[in-house]
Amino acid sequence: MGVSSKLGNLGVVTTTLEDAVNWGRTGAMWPLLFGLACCAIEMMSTQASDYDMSRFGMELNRATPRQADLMIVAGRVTRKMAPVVRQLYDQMSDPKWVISMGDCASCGGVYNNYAIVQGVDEIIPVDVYVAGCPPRPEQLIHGVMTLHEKIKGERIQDWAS
Amino acid sequence: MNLIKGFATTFKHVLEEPVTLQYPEQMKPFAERFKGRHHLRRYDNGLEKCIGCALCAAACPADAIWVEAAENSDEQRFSPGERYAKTYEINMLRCIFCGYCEDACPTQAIELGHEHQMSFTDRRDAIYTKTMLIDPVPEGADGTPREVEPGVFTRAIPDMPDAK
Amino acid sequence: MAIPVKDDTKLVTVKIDDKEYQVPAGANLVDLAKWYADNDIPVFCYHPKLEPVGMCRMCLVELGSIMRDRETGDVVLDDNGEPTVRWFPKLQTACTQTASDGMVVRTNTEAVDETRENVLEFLLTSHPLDCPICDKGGECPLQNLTMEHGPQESRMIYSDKMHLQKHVPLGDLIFLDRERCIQCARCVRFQDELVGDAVLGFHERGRRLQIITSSDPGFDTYFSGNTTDICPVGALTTADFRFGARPWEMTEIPSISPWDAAGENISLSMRLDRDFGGRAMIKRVMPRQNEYVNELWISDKTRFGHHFTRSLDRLVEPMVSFGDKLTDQSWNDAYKAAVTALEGASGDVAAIAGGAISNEDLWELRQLVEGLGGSRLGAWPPTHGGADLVAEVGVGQDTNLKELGAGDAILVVASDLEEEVPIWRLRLKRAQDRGAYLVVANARPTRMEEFALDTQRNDKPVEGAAVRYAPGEAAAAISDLKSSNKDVYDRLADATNLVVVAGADGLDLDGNKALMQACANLLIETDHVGKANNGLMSPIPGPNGMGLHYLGYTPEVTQDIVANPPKVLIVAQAEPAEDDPTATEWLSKVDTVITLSLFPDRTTSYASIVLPIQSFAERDGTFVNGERRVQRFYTAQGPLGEAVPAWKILTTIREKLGQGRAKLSAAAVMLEITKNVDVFAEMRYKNLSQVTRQFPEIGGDDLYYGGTAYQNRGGLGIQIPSAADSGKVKAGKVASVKATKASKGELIALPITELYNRSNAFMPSGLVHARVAVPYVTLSSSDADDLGLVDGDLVEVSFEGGAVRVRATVGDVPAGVALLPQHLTDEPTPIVPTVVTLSKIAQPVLA
Repeated sequence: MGVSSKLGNLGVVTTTLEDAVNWGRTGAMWPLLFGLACCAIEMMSTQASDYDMSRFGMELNRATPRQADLMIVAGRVTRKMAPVVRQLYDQMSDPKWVISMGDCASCGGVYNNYAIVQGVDEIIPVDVYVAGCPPRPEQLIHGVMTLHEKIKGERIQDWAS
Repeated sequence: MNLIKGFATTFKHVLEEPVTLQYPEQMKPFAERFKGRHHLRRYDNGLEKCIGCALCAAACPADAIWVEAAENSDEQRFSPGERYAKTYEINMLRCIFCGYCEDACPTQAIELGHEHQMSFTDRRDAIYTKTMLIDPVPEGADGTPREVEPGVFTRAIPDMPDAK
Repeated sequence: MAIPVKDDTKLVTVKIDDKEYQVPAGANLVDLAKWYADNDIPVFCYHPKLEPVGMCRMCLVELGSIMRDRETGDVVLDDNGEPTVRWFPKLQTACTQTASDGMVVRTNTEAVDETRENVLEFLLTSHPLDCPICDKGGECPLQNLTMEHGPQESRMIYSDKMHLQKHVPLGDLIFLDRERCIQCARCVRFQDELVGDAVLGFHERGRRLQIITSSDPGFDTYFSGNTTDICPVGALTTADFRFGARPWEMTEIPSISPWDAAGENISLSMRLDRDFGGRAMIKRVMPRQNEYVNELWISDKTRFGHHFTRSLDRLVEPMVSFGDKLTDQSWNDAYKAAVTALEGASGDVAAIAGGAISNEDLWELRQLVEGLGGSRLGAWPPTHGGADLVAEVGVGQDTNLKELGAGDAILVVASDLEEEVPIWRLRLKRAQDRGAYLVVANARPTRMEEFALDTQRNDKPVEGAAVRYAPGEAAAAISDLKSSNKDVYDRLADATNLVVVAGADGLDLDGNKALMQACANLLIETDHVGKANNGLMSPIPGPNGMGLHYLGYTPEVTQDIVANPPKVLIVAQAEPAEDDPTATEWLSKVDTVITLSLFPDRTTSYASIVLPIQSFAERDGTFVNGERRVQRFYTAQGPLGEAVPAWKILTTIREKLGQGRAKLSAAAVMLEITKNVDVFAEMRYKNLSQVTRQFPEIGGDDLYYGGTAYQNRGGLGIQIPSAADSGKVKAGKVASVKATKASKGELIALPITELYNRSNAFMPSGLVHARVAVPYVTLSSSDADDLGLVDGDLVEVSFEGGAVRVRATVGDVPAGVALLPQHLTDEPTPIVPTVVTLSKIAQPVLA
């Protein structure tokens, strides 16, 4: 706004570096391809043509963590699966985000027992929790948009971490 | 020949309208019985329907509901009868939207609505308190708690019209 | 009630639903069907602890008897060679039938099913649809039986039901919902038969029949809470729990009452609570069945007095005074200060422990003191001696007060049991109902004396005698019983079983010790020791008064500590300065006082190190009750603030002093006690938590049978054998007692106990405040005339160490003495008979 409001429309867009980078990040976020339980079906449905996540720059799910920015933990994480999830997360390159999709991933859901991790945030940092059992594609997209909002608020000092 | 057959299918679809739903701008209509976020209902006179019996919490397979009850008085009346819910919380991240709470409720106080867009950046935000869950007071009625005539609202499960 | 079977019980054959059982003759049919045949006959009005009345008609069964030939006495056989059964033409109430030979019962026929359905439909004609909001909903006999036997649909019109008052306070503690009452009279019968406080009754008739209370204040009894347990519907609910939680939401933790020597078994109903920081809190206290200790009952103090466990007044942080003022410190600094003080004492360390502290704490404290070279371990309060005699000639192994009856005798001396140990008073009064001879000896009137003087109760004759002695002369009265009161003495001596309860009401330590010796001598002389249901009991204050004795803490040492204050004194869960007006004097002579306390009080103000301890609800531990039964309690509530169990504080200090490694659990401490103290050899936690089948069997799904008292899952405890159990004991010499003398114009104040008082631990239970007496002093009419006092005057009672202003009442007390209840005033009042002067301050204010 600053320059353009003084000099009129110069055909130039000004912005901050933060906004530009955040915009870029939200526009090309590739999820990691893996599902753990029933939520994964809804995640696939979100990916398919009816809801088409590529509208949000999520062109395709990558089957390798090295090429993914976003981990959608779709389903219950068993204690046995937990190290695997953690390893995949560690292998993702920064910047990376996590959506905990559905009740089981978020807090164990109905599986309040010894076999299930009571919330995937016990093992990896979660950015957005999506409620639902399983969440509809709309709900997952709402979660993705919540994540976008969160990313848009990120500051340079946050990037370092 | 097979090649042509295959491409014909492809071309047929190329000419079709795209099926993609432009969510969030567009929304698919939901089935009437879709179960989304909960609401605590009120009677037409503004009193809360919930009597704090915690049967919803007992029915909940995910232990998502937390109810603490307290005693009504005619000076501080929340609901008809002797008991009301002092605390009513639902953890939306635990809830599986099965609707058992709706079935268990003896006063039809809790109903599952159609709102479904619930994602949180903090687990704490997922706990909906009574103030978030309860419906607004119907127009022209008093809110709760309120002072009432003694001896009028003595039944916990009364015959009273619902709020519209 | 002949279940369970004893050796001499006559057995008869009863046939229930085509199966034969050998059962004791005369046993109640409902009881025996449940006990032997596992056949739950539904009941509402019948209760195994009450006399059957057959009011509710729920227990109707088909009853018959095997036909016998009148001449030969042979069983008449039918065509198939089976015995012929002569059936009653109509159904009979099982609860009013007792087992006899050849009895045949059918409970699974169509007629019985239909009758049960009809009875339930009748009860439900006007029962409100309150289950969702009813405190009983979920553990309600009517609800359960309706689900099991009731009609599936109601033929009644919901809007046409009778509407009655729903919130009738029967006193301050219990609410009555008149709509829900099914008029089974269990509460009325409980009060009349068991408690003997006939304060409830039926009023009007037919559909207008209602429960009313006839006392002022309403429902004036110490056992009112039990009526809510046995009420088969939600008609009676407690004001304390009201809407606190639903029954299925609570976790039951076995515990022991922290109040008196009875050691009532309780169950703490725990549930998370938002107002308590989302942590588990005690929602209610329920009785836990222990037929040896409290059967199914607890006193109202136990039930409603639990609020101190989460009181905001509790100490939650250690405090240390470096100069003149106590300040909050970290545990590390507090430990450092304690270690420095203890090391600097060069062995001149002593300890005083109260009666509410557990054995584990006592053991660690003893180790600490002895490890430092000290040896003085005092018991507080220094009023009740004779614990050594209870250990010697105490009630024998397997004593059960409910087995006392005809031919037995009970002597209660110098004790106001109603106020001191209500459960004992309930059970001993019940023993008198069954025919035991009750003798009450005291210098003043007590509730127990009224029972002793009764000649008839519930249409049955009862026997007893009251002995009044001059104040302070209790020991002489018992020693001279043979010469002065031959009749009473003979009855006691000739009794099959004799239980003596000797307290310290109106006595000082010497007087109490002499009395205990006199009572022990009486028991030994008449050969009433070393057997079950025979021996001595003492209402020592606190739930662990006997534990103090067994772990080496004595009141005599306390007197020594008072006379020669040590350099460092550890006061463990005792409140000397709250109890005793003279404590300020000797406490200030101690260099360093270290207290382990629940509450900040007068004693902590003398301390330079105050360490916050956990209450019984927050920790594991064991108590030894007045019948020497070691009982275990479990952790229920999370710790308040930074409070730590006393044993843990002490074991940590010991580690820091280089006395070995700190123990990690209460069980480890107990294990060490079992290895070092002989009488505790068997008392490992595992043994203490063992349970055997108890009659009546309660606490299952059949809530209608025994009420909502809980099944015992925490252990029945183990009784420490008395010395008399294992060998001969000899009578000792009764020391002569120097009575307190008052000169002209002075009176001797006898400290008495009030169950509901203003002690620090009881005050947080606000609900019961209305029942706490206004501070008073009772004096005889002649003394009142001499002093120019009338009933209701405000008087100042001055004594050594202080003065209190109380209301004067004129009552039936001997001339020259004044009864001054303890813990009713903010200021401490004497704990032993003391010379006082009374002066009038103001006239009574007329309303």
